[in-house]
Parts: sequence; structure tokens; C-alpha cells
Amino acid sequence: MSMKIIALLLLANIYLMATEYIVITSHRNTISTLSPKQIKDIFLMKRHFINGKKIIPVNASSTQALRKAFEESILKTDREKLNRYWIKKHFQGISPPIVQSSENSIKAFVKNVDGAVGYIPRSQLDNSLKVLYEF
Amino acid sequence: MSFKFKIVSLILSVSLIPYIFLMIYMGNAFQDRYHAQTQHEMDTQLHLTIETIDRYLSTLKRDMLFISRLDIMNDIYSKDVDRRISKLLETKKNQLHLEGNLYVVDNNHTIIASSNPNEILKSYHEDSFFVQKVHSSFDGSDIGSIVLDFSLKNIKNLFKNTKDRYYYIIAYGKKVLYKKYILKDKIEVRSSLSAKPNIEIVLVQNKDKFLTLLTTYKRWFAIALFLGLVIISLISLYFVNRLIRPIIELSKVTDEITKNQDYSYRVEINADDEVGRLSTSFNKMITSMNSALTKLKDESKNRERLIEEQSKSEMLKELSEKLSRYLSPQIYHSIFTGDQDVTLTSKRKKLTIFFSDIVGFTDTTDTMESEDLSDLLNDYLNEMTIVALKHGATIDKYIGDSIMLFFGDPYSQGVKNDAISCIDMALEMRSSMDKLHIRWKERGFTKPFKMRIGIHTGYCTVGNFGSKDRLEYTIIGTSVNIASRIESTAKPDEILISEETKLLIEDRFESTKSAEIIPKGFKRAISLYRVDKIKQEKKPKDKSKHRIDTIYIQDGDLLLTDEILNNLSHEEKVELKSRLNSTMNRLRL
Repeated sequence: MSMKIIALLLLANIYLMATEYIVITSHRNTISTLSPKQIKDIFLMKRHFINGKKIIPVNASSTQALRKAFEESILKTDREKLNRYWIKKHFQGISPPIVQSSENSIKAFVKNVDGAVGYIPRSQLDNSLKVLYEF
Repeated sequence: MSFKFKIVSLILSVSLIPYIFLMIYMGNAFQDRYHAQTQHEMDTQLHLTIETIDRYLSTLKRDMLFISRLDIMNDIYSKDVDRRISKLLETKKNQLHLEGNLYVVDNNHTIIASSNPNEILKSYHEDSFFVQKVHSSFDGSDIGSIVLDFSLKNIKNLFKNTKDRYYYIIAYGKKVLYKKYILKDKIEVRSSLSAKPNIEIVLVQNKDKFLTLLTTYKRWFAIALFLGLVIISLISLYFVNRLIRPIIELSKVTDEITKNQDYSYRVEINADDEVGRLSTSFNKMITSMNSALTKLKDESKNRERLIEEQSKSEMLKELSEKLSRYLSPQIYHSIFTGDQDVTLTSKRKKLTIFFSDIVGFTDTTDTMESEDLSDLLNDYLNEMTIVALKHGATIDKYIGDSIMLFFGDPYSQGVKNDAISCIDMALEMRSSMDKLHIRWKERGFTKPFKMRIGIHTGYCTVGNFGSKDRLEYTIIGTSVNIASRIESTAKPDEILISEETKLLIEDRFESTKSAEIIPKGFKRAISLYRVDKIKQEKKPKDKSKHRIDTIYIQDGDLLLTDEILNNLSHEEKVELKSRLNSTMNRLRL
């Protein structure tokens, strides 16, 4: 029973993990979907435009679980590698994406800034936002 | 007012007035300088303060610029829901110790974030000096502004006010933080901020403090002034005393001299200046005064002696005049002129000796009163003496009615002239007798006196004879006896002369031989001659005198007929006039 419960919880967890976070943009944005590869390029500041539209990525703050989940799921890299990457990029004049410290602020930012793309937990989704990807 | 006081006043006024003016001028200059220095110091201080303020303001600006460029400013998009900007502003405010709040305002003038949470979402419209535009970090678009609601208190915090120096601000023409209690009496410097020319910073120095400082210096100044006055006074007193001392010395010596009449005082001043020269001159003056005074004293003594001597000599003169009556004028004269010494001396000399007497005088006088006789005798002798002296005879002596006199000593005109003078005299005496007869007749003496005269010329011993105590100037010798003998031989009114005399006078007088006698003690006879008259023709040179003589004595009367007078020459008239005057004078006596 207990094993079942644990298994269930684990399954549920996996499920939840698989569907907990969403990559969002403003409802006004013309983009409707993004591939993980596109998302990764956007957040590593390798790609700035999608369909001719300037994309502004918004990170969650580094301490948030959201951020960690995003890095693991989408960027598929650890913090150390990431830091090295940004140090390298810094010398090329490229800064990491803007950081917002809360899900609310991410949502507010994405809503207010044209072309902004952020990620939030699914639970935070509202009508003004458009889901581009789920992870 | 003493001389010293005058000099001291003069020196003091000459030295003190410029000194006081100088000190006052210096004091004022010092005050001005101190004022200028204070102002300069304040200027410097203000300048430094303004630099500090400017630096502070630019730092603020830089800080705001820095903030505006932070990524966090992108939170304006998210309306700062995380309060990240507000926290930052708050931190910054505290960090900078800012008075007033920092705001982040979006383009709709809505306060997105503020150091004062109460202000958030309010509208913000005020102008501010500190406004910094904010641009998004990703696309550079204008997303709002950072505004500092700047309070001037921030500047005030930079002021280092002291008790006596204050800052205040004039912002847009209004005094800010102006302390009312700052006195009106103050020094002020002001300057505008270079970043904000509308804001002036004023630095005020309370003049009270400044004055206190000056007053302190003024006290020292007054002390210095006083000391200067004292020193100048002492120095001038010292010099005046030195200057005056010789003058006081001089005046003291003058007083001493005046008081004691002692001219031995001298001024001891050894100065090589005018006063020194004055004292030297003074000493010289005293010396010469002293010698003059001594001379004067001597002179006055001499004068006294002279007066004494004069009175003595007057007395002597008087005495001698009295004495002279007892002496023959010639003797008297020669004794008193010192020609003849009053000593027992004698000399031999050829003289003409004259003797006369009145015939029968003793018989005549027997019947007369002695007073009358004395009168008569004196009258006679007086008249005879006048005539004798007129002719220069030396009267030897009167013996009763007899007169003895001689010619040739002490003055001689030569033996011949002496003899002539003697005969002239004898003739005049005889005519004088006629005048005496007239006079005596008037007085009642009817019996006429007749005189007889004997004259002889011969050597005699003449001089002072007698003892040392009682001397007599007289002549002795045979000739004297002969003359006396001749006289006693003569008849009344007769002038008998010896041959010796006759030989001397014969060219002047007519004479006839009368008799021959052998005087007592003589072995040889002496021829005697009677003098008759003056030879008229034999005196051409002295004609006038002779004629006048003739006129005068003819028979004892004046022969002044008109004929005679008309025939007189001018010289004769003069001679006659002089004789008549002389006679008149005698009559007056």
C-alpha cells in the first residue's frame, strides 16, 4: 500500500513535473508556440527574433525553484556551466536575460512588455497570457 | 609759564601729534586689513563649501544615473510588484542620508516606486532639480524617471556652522534656514552654486565676535599707544632737561652774581653748541664786567684821592696865596713853580738894586694917629708895589717906609734891561707919588710926602738865607750897601743912580752927575747921577710907549690935550687905551 502510495506520488510527481511550468508570453504576441530549442536559444541570448519579432526573455530569480526547473528542463545544464557560459558571453557584450524576482512580476512584465517571454508555474496562468510551451 | 614747560609742550606736541595720528592710522589700517582678511578667509571658506556642495550634488546626480541604469529599473514594467525598486530607493536614501524622498515615476506620472511606501501609485507632478530618465535595459525605450524630492536640508547638513559663523541659503530669492537671531551687525559673503545658480549660499560672520577680536587688539593697541606716549614723554623730558640745564645754570649764576655781587662765579658748561658758546660769552662778559668794575673802583678811588689832593692843593693854594703876600711875587712864583728850591742855597748874580724911602717920614708920622699912619703907609706901599710888580721887580722887603727891591733874579731880562726896567719903575713910582698926593690931599693929609730913590747895579749874593727853620730870600753883598747908601744920599724926589747903572741906562735916560760919595767902609768914591727923564729921541722903536709914558706922567697929570690925542698913531692909541683901562681897573679896586 505504502509502496503504491509512494509510486503514485512519484507518478503524480512526474506528471506534475511534466506539466507544472509553462513558458508564456503576452496574449497580444503573435507567436503561439516555441520549441524547447527555440526557448533555449532565446534564454541563452543566442536568438533574439522569432518570425521577425524581437523576443525579450525574462528569467525568474536564481533562488527560485521555478528557475532551477527551467534550467534543468529547458536549458539542460547545471548552474556552474551556465555561469561559465554567461561569463564568456559577458566578454562578448551579451548580458543574461532580465530577472524578475517573483511569478507575479514575471507575469506583470510579460503582460506589459511587448515580445517578453517568461515562465511561470501553470497555476499562475491567466487570460492575458498565452502558453508557448509546457514543461 | 616756564621756558621748560614751553619746550616740553612744543616737543610733545611736535612728536606726539604725529605719533597719535600714526597710531590711529595704523589702528584703522589694521582694522581694515583685519576686516579684509576676515572677508577673504570667509570667501575662501565659502568657496570650499560651495565646491563641496557642488561635488555632493554631482555625486547625487551620478548616483541617480547609476540607479537609472540598473536592470532592476525594468521592474517599472512590472509596476515594481516585488518592491525591488522601492527597497533600492530606500536603501539609497539611507545610504546617502538624504532628506526628502526618491521616486520612480512612469511616463504617466504615476509613482511606481518610492523610498516612502505611502507615496506609491500616487501621481507625481512636481518639478525637481534631480530628475533622471530611465530607459529599459533591453530596448533602451523611455520607461520613466527617477526623481529626487530634494530638500535644501541636504545642503544644510554640509554646512559646518560655528557659534560665530553661519551659513544660510537664498533659494530663488528667498532666504532659507535663515536664523533670525543673527545680528544685523555682520560680515556677509555669498556665492551661487555653479550647478544651480538660483541657489546662493551666504556665509555670515557675526561682527560681535569680530569686534571682540578687534577690541582685544585695540586694548593692546591702546597699551602700545600709552607706552609710546610715556616713552616719548620721558625721552623729551630727558632731552629738555639736558637742553635746559645750561640755561638754568646760567640763570642761577646770574642770580648769584646779582645777589652776592661776586663776579668770580663762572658757568661750567662744556658743550660745543650755541648754549656752550653763550656760556663762554657769558663768562667772558662776567670777566670783562669784573675788570671794568675793578677799573671803575680804582678810578673812583683815584678820583677821591684826586679830589682830596685837589682840596689839599686848593688849601695849599689859598695858603700860598696868603703867604705870597709876604713874599715877592717872583720869589713866590719861582718857589711855587719849583724853579727855586726852598733850601739854603745862594748864587752870585749881577743885579740892579733899588732902595727908596719917604723923606722925613718919621717926623711927619709923629703927629699922626697910628691908624691913619698905617693906612697911609699901606696905601703908599700898595701903590709902589703895584708899580714895582708891573715892571717885574723882585720885592725884597719893606722896612717901615723903605722899600728894597731888585731886578735880575729870579727872572732876568739881561743886566742892561733889568737896569732900564728899574729906572722906568723909579720914574713911575715918582709920578705915582704925585697921584698919591692928590688922593691924600682929599683925605686931609696936606703935608706932601717926598720919596727918594737910590739905584745901583752890581754883584750880589742872592738866595735863601737864614736857618733851616726860617728862611729869607734876599740879597746880600756890598752892592746892597752901596745902593742903600746912594738912597740915603738922594734928595727928596730925586732918583740917584751909581755909575754902573748909569752906564747901562744912558742910552735911554738923561741923567746928570750929582755927587760923589765914599760910602762907609769904601775906599773908592762912587759917582752918582740923577735921572732926569727919558731920552725922547733915542727911542724910535718904542716911540709910542715912550710918548704915552710922557703923556701919562707929565708932572703927575695926564696930558691929554686934543692936540696930543690927534697926533697919536693907532698903536699909541691902543697902548694908551690899555694903560687907561689898567688905571681904571686899579681905581675900581
